[in-house]
Amino acid sequence: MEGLLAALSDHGLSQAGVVFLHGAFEAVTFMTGRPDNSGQRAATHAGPWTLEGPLTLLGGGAIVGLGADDRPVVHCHALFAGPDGAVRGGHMLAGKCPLDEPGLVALACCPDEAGFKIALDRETNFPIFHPLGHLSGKALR
Amino acid sequence: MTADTRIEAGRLGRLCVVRLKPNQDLTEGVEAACRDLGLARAVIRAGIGSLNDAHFDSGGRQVSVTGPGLEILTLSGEIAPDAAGRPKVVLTGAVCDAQGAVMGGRFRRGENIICITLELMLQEWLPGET
Repeated sequence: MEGLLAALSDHGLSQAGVVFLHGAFEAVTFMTGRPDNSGQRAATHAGPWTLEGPLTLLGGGAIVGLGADDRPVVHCHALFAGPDGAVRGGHMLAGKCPLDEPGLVALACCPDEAGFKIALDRETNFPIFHPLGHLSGKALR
Repeated sequence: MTADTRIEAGRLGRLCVVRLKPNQDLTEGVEAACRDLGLARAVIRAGIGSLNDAHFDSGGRQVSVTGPGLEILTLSGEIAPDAAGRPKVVLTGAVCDAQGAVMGGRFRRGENIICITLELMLQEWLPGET
């Protein structure tokens, strides 16, 4: 995910909707969702789990937007197959999903007049992306 | 190419940033966003989030996955007008449960309720324009 942010940053981009086309991982660490019995939230995270690769990326995508400190951050979900062919998926953890050869190919659409920014959402009690404007007439593809 | 193949020429237009909130239906929420944004035709460019439970049409059967907190891993689809001219969306995708097991299909209208959020980018489709 750092590679995705770096690739976008190289082009001066900090907002994107991303679809993964193909790729491979050496390993993945991911989380999933489960009921939250504390009553604080509608759901909470389960995991993290780590799977050692090689793993084949089967699909998924990401939303890139601004963090609370205005630096780009990525929210990424993906599904992948391991050496046994079993398919798993979840919320990919930044810094813990090293790519394998030949890397990862993605298609990004980048609004330049709208986007997302992280803020605490009082309804869900999670820091999540909120829209910064809704329409961009100058989509970059 | 078969006789019933249809190719539609056009171009992609405005890019739209949308968040659906808890307790909104996935399909109906995307349609409402399109109405609010004035989009008659659009395609899903990116979408991730979570559902309370998931209900699909898959392989000719109805399939359900129990949550809450099912992660939406992939989301594909398009928005086009129905016979009355209202935006109608078809969405397919995959979700995972708490163990990371993956299931998918075509999301059933009115039965897939957003759990925490859906972050979505839509792009307008302008048929006939080049």
